[in-house]
Amino acid sequence: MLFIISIFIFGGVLETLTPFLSRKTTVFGVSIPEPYVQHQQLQIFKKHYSMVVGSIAVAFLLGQIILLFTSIQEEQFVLLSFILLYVMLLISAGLYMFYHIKTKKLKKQENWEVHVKTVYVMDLSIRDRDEVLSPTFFTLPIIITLALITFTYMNYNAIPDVFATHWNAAGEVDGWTEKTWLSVIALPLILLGTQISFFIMSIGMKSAKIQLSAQAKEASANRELTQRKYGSWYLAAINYSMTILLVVLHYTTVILKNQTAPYFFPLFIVFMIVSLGGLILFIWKLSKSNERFDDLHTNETAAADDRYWKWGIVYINKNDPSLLVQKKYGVGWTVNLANKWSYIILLVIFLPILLVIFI
Amino acid sequence: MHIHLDPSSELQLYKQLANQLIELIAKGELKNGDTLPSVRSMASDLGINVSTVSKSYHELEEKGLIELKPKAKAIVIGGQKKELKETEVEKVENALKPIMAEAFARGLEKDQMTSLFHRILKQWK
Repeated sequence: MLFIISIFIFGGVLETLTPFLSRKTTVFGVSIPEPYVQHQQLQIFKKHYSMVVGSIAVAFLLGQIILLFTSIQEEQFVLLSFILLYVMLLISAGLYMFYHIKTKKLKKQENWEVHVKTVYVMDLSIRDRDEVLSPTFFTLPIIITLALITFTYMNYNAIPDVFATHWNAAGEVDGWTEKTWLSVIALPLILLGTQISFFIMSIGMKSAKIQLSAQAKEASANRELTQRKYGSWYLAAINYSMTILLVVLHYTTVILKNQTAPYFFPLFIVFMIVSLGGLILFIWKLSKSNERFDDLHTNETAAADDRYWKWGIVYINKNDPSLLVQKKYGVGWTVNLANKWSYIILLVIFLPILLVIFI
Repeated sequence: MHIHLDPSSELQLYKQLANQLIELIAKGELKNGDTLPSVRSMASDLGINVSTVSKSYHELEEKGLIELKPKAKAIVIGGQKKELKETEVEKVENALKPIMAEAFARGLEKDQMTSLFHRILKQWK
C-alpha cells in the first residue's frame, strides 16, 4: 500500500510541476515569442494551474492516508488509489486545455506576433557537443533477447507442459500457461518488440531537431544538450533494467523450472526504482539547465512551429524529416505523425499491452 | 559558429545561409576538412525547408568551397592559401567591379573605399 501511495505522490508532484519544467518559450503548448517570455500573465497562468492541481493532489492524498487507518482491504485500496490517480490526471489534462486556450487568446489579443521579428538560428558546432547515446548501445539488449529465444527453442523438450506466467502481489503464482511453440517465447517476444522500438527511438533522438532560441543561444543550447544526453541515458537505463528483469524471469521459470524464486520481487523493485528514480534524476538535471531570459535586448525570436501542433500535443509536419521531436508541454519526446516510422513505434509500444489484456 | 537567417531581409534565405557559411570559412572558423551538418539535420535544426539548405550547399559546391558526395557529409575544401588561377581572379574582379562602381557612382570617395576594404579584410586576417 505504501508502494501505491508513493506512485500517487510521484504522479501528483510531477503533474503539479509540469508547467515549470517545459521550455520557457512554450507555455501550455503555445509558443511564446522570446520578448514576451517574462510576461506577467503567463506566470500567473502557470501558478494557478500548479495551485489547483497541487491542492487536488494533496486532498486525494489525505483521503488515502485517512483510509489507511480504516479496515479497508488491500485490493480495494489499490483500486481506489489508481482511480484517484486517473481522476487527477484527467483534471490536470482538462486544466491544461483550459490554459492552452487562454494562453493562445492572450497571444492573439495582444498581437505578439506582429511586434516581434522571427529569425532562424542554429549553431553549426552543436552536433559535435551532442552526447546522445549511439543507437549501437541499444542493439545489445536485442541480441541478448534473440539469444534467449534461440536458447529456449534449443531446450524446448525440457520445458514443463505448463509454466507460470502471472504472479499476485504476494509473489504467488496465480496464472499458468500451456506450452506451445509460441507461448514459450511470448515474454521474450514482447521484450524484443519494446527493445526494437527503443532502438528506433534512439535513432530518432540522434537526428531530432536542436531548437535554439534567438536571444539566449548558449543557455538554450545547454538545455537541449542536457535533455538529449540524459534523455537517452534514461531510455538506456530502462531498456537494460527491463531486459535483465524479463530475461531472469523467463530463464528461471521456463528453463530452470523454478516458479517462485526469492529474487523476483527484489528485481522488480530494482526495476521500479530505476524507472522512477531515473525519471526524477532526469527532471532534476533538466530543471537545473532550463534557460533564463534575464537580458532580453531585441525583439527577435526563433521561428515557432505552432501550426504543426494540434492542441500543443500532436505533431504533424511533413517538411520535418525527423521522427522524434521534443514535447511542447512537459518533458520528453513525441513522434512526428507525418513520418511513417512513427506508426511502427506506436504499434510496437501498444501491441504488447493489447496482447497482455486480451490474451 | 552561429547561423542567423532573417526571413524579412530582401536577400533570399538560401543566399543568406551560403553567405554566412562562406564568411565562416573566410574567418577560419570552418577549416579545410571540416564537415558540415547533413542537409537534413541543418534543415531540421534551422526549421527551414530541406530544399533551401540543399540549394545553398550546391552553390558552395559550385564555388568550389565544399565537396558534396552522395550519402556522405559535405566537406569544407576552402580556406587554405593557394595560387588562384588567372580565370578565378578574373571572376572575383568581375563580381567586385559592379559593387565598387555602384558605390563610386553614389559618391563614395576612393580613400573611403580603400579603408572600407581594409576594415573588412581585417576580420578575416
